[in-house]
Amino acid sequence: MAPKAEIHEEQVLQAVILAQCEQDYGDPVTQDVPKVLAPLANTPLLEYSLEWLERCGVEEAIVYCRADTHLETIREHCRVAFMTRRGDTTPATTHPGGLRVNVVASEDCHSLGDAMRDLYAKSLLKGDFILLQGDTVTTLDLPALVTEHRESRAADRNAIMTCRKTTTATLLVSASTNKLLLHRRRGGRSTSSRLSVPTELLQGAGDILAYPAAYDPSVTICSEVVPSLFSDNFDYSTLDSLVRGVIEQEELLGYTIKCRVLEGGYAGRAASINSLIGVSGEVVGRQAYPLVPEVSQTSHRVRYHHDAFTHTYWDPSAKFPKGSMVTGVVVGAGTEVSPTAHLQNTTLGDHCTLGDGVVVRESVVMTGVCVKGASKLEQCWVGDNVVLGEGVVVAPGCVIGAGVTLGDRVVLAPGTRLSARPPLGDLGGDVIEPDPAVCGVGGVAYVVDQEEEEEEEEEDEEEEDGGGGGGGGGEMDESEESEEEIQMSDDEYNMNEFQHEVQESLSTALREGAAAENVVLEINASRHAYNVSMEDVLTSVVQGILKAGQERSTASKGAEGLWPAVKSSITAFQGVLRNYVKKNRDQILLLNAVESLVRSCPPFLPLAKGVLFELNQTHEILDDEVIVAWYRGGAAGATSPLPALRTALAKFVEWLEEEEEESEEEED
Amino acid sequence: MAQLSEREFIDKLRFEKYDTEQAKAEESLYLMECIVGSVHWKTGSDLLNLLRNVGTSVQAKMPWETTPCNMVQRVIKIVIDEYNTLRGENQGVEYPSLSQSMLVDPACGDLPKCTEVIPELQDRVLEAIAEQKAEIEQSQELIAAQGVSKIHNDEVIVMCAMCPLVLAFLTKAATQRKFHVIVAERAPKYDGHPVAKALCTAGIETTLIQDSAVFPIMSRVNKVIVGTETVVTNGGIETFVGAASLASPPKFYSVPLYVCTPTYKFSLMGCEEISHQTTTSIIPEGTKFWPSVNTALAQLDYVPPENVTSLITNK
Repeated sequence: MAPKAEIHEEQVLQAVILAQCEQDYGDPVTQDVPKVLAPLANTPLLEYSLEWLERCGVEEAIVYCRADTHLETIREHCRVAFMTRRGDTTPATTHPGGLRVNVVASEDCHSLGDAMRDLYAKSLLKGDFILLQGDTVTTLDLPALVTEHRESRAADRNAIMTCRKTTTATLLVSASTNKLLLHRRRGGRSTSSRLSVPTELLQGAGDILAYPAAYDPSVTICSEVVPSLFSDNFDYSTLDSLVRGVIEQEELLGYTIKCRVLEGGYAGRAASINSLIGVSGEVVGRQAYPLVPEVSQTSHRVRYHHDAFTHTYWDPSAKFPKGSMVTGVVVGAGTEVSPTAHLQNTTLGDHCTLGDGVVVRESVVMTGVCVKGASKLEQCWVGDNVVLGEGVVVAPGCVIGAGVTLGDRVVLAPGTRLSARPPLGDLGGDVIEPDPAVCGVGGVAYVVDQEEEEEEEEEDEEEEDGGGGGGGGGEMDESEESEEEIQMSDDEYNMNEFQHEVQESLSTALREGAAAENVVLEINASRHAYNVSMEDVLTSVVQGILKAGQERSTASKGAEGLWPAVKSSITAFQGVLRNYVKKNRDQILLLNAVESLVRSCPPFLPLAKGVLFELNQTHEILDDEVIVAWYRGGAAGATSPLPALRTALAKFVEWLEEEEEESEEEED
Repeated sequence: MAQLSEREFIDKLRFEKYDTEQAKAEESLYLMECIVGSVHWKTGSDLLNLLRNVGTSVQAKMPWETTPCNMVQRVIKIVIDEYNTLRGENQGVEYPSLSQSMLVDPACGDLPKCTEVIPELQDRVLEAIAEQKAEIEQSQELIAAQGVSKIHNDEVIVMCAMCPLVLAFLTKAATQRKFHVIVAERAPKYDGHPVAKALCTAGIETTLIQDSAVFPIMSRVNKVIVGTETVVTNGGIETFVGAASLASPPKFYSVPLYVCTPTYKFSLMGCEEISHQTTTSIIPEGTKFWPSVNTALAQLDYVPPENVTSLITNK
């Protein structure tokens, strides 16, 4: 008998590196070089990740980027770097144990969510994979994490296992199973220092570890379920939203997230200019050993001399003072630094020239830069081929794009961003002259304006994307006592958007005479998109219906009176209202909604009575008792009925009460 | 075993997949066997060039890995010698120093021209490499066997750092002699702790002391035994950090310092080329030192030849 052949699935370890999904650095930097190829200690950022993945035995790395001008550069880089590493010219060699790099691009990838959906659609991910951001430098023990992940998957169905270390998210983790119970990202916008924890969380878990500040290096081990979860929920854009979604829907889906806080290893994310400088300092200080600056990550040759005690690395062809004034510095090939210069914690690229008395602190300087005497640079990023004149003072946080020339004695305000290319004028044909006030005589530089959002983004260094508004905006507690509701501006923004949408749907429906189910469907879709609670939905719907009636009457230029229009609107939407108004509580909400609408739009005041009459008598959506109770007892919320409203409704309520008595009498 | 290519070897070295120096030496010899055994070369010069390429690439990428470089240099010498023997020259020439008789550094100077095609060259070279291999494999036992003759009863010996060779040396000697070993614990890695444990399980009386207590203890010690990474040309050694401070007190108190080293650790490196190999991996994450404080954790140290009494090797 022939022995049965066992089919083993080759477990190829894959990694996904997200490059280019969000533009973080701002234009002057990413104009010329893609973010992942920006050099950190004179090595492109992507190299650190690829090198470390290769050491961890990952067999295939998928570099995911947006299909724009930088795609070719990234592709070329991966191919060239890969070949130098391999030392042969045939890229198709399946070298056992090597790392295959695959660059995948997509047209409209704006977030991690889009990337995941695309990868899922292309079926490139075959099993568990490691998810990294392209700008991470890490020496975490990935193989150990992967084994642990695989073991826990065998025991129980898991979605993701993450590893976090220290600063920006608040985590609650169950100690025995490492299950993630609560995750809240603390952005710069959060003003409260309290965290409300639903008690159900505390019930099931045994020991809970609370990490008030966990730093996310953005390294995650995901199972193959993750991309499918992303594609099911089209509004998940960042990993945070996925985490929250999975935790909330745990009973439904049965997925859990495990979380480990790691002790050893280094991980740093160079997301913004400041963090780039910070991570650069740490790598220069050899905290990311074995990824050290003196060994080139592309060709693995030792390219710099290294002085351990001042943490200085220099190329043999560089001329610079090796004294105590120079510490924590990486100096590229062919660079000349004058003996009187002071350098501290900076990276200089190739072929730079620094004149006498130049002071450079905690900056990143790229290739071909010429800085003339007595200039001061602090915590800034200077692009390729920049020429700075004498006595230029560059304040912290400045970004000077490639090719900029600054005249003598120019002083830049903190946070200025300059670019050598003029901003695109609307008319195209204009040639904007460089402003001497900005860049000095003979200089060429244009200030790049940033939008508000980007600036806020720069402040919170570890925020993943500008859409942090969607991900980080607080959760709407579904509980009834919402006294601790933290009012964040994102909530209001969401509400406004939602109300607009509802309004539009209702107006359109009224005009076209759409069926109730369709309207309900539309409203529900909007609700899910903006993550709005049921009470708000009801309120918005009611107000929307009334306003739609108003719109209709104004649209027909007052030919129809306001009241008839509103009445017909209510009639048209009675199905919708019935769908949302089921319990007494809903009815009270409806009444509150009418009241607040009256408060905000006075024209509705005389109609309030008519509205209530309609809803009560004709459509029987509102019960008599409820109306009476509401009127007598005041609203369940904080405000009491308007005096005007009270008087307007007084008669109606009296009549209702009489009716009640009559019907009671009749029953007797 | 499958054919090992130069690239794979370098990758393995880079990813630190070898546990001991002996494994590295064996693998590098194996690599060279593959090169010699392959059909890519015709004359001696070709072979020498191939070997030289291996040597330079390892040197360029990992200058601290001296063992593979040593082996390459050995093999080059073997090839040259065999070639010359087969051509009937250079019989019985005396070499001025040990290193010259064993190694040829391809980096300095041209290699002698070996342009004749001699068919037996390949076989002879392979034989010689096999001999080298056997020598490496036996090095540990041969050194350990000398323990009995070097150590006497009731002696106090100081050793340091996790060195399997020295441990083997001492444990073999312990089967026949009774002596006392003092181990320095070597912060911050605390290598000394597992060493002390290993010695205890072998039945040797052990004392664990802190690094700073080495000097006062030295007056009562009979000998100091250490292992090494590399032996440099002037007779000094490049070894674990802390060895330099371990080696000065014996000089002061006239206590002999023995270095147990197999022959594959002899190299042509000059003493000025030694770097300390610093990392900062021990510093806990998040300690706010930077930027005013530099932290440096050295890995290697140099002991000058004046402090070394003798080398115990396997020849």
